[in-house]
Amino acid sequence: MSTSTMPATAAGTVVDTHRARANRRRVLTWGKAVVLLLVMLVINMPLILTAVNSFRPRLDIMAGSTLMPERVTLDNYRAVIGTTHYPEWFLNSVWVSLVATAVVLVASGLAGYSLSRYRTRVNSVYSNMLMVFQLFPLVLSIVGLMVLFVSVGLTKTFVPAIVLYIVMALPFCTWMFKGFFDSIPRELEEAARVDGCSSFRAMISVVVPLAGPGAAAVAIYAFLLAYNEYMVASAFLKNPASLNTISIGLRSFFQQNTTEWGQMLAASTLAVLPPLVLFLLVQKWMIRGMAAGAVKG
Amino acid sequence: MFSINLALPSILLLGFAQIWPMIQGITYSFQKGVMAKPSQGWVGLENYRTVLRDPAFWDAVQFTIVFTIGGVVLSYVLGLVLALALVRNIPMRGFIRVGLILPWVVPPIVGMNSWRWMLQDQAGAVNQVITFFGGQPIFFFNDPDMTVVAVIIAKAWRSFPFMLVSLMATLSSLDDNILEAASIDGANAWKKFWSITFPQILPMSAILWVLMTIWSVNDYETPYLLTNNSANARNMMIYTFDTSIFGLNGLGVGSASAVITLAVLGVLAYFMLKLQKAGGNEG
Repeated sequence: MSTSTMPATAAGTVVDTHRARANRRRVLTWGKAVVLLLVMLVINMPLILTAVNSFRPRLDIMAGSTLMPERVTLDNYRAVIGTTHYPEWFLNSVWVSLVATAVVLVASGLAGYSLSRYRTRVNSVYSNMLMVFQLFPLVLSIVGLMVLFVSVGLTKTFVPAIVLYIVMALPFCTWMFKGFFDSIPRELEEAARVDGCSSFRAMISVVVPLAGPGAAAVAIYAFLLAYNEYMVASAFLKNPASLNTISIGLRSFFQQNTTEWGQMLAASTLAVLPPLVLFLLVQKWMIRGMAAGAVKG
Repeated sequence: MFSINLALPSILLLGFAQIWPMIQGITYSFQKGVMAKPSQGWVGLENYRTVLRDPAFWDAVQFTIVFTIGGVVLSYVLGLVLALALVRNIPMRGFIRVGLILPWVVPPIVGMNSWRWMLQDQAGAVNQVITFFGGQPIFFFNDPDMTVVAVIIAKAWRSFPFMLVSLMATLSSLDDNILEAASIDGANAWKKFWSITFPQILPMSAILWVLMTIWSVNDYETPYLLTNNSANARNMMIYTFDTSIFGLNGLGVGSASAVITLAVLGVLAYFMLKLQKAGGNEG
């Protein structure tokens, strides 16, 4: 340290050295933070440019993309909301996702509770099967179910897509629930049992109220999965057009020879808002669930 | 009994929408049929022969392999570098972490449309940057090789947040004492990573590699949406989907290709479960 050569009392030298070291460390960590912040911006550039350019006039967008728009307009948004079926796509997406989420919440909550509290052979087999289910090619289920739904005449409804969204979300949501229930002490239910509650009553009145934040994260995970999904939607919600969700609708901006980039950018920006807000609300819980899902299984 | 009753709704749902269609799919693969008329007689292994003789299937296999390896490597490296940087306490750490997870949160249709727009021919942002620095514009969606590169980049973009979050959780559970001891002994950062940190995160990394491989093989959306179903970027899922729904004798041939994919994934899933039993438990 250069400070050690300075003429000063022994105590002063120690203080100076510490201060210099602390300063250098602070500069270094701030430097790192700035670099990481820039990396974050570059990685999100596709989304940032989409949002920024959605406010530019159509012709300016075609001429090329610059970071700062020189003319700002809401025309693209007006066109999307006024002349396309965007509001309808949005409502379809929300409806399908909400129904799927409600079923997932109940089914995975019950199963997650069972996995957390009872170590039976059925549960260990079931737990392994959930892992395997998550790895299955979805195409196989889509094709098999399509034949079934064609034969019973349900292909022109939301039912097939909702069923698939439920089973897609189930494995991961069950693990998330199991993790949250594991962190609630068993003694609480045991006390309720002693007081004369049945197992079911003990679960409903003691554990369910405590699972609130966990349930919110699970619900948002299931909602986002359904809201964001494309392949199932393209199999079951493409025809008739009244079933189209956002994922399907957004592709209609690609015409045969031209692409309505202006409207597409505006519609994309609108479509991103709900997932963005929901994710920010529960990000802490969801990040924890994401990390646990890969490790535990 | 109570424990089984609790899991019953899930078991019924999964049985109906996963196990049953899978068994159906396997039986369809040995029959002649189309979506509207599934069972038109048993044909033995004919459908499998058709798939294995179809050059388009082998193109799909080849693309799937390149896409998977490229995507897994790139997303792992990106996720690991960022996890190592973010695991230390730095200012704005929470904000940066949330920002880096956004590509995982947004709908794939939006992410892929944005990339498609950025990678456009002349007016695209990427080509504007390239020409600004005096380079030749790259026509990502006309050149078959560049199409593959574009799909791999987009896949890594969507997948790295999962790697980042999982690796950060693992890194933060490690014991810092060994690293401190190594610093006192004068080891440099690179050496510390290779001989101390990496061996400790290897079990978790192996799980992530296999998991991401399986998810990449299953990924229909990234190549399909980014390239607008370009013939240069058709993986096994797209092949199966298109053949089953639109192909001649589609259901039989498509199901056969799905069963082949399922067999490959089954082997990977087996390794995955082994790895989790071996190394994942302490995580």
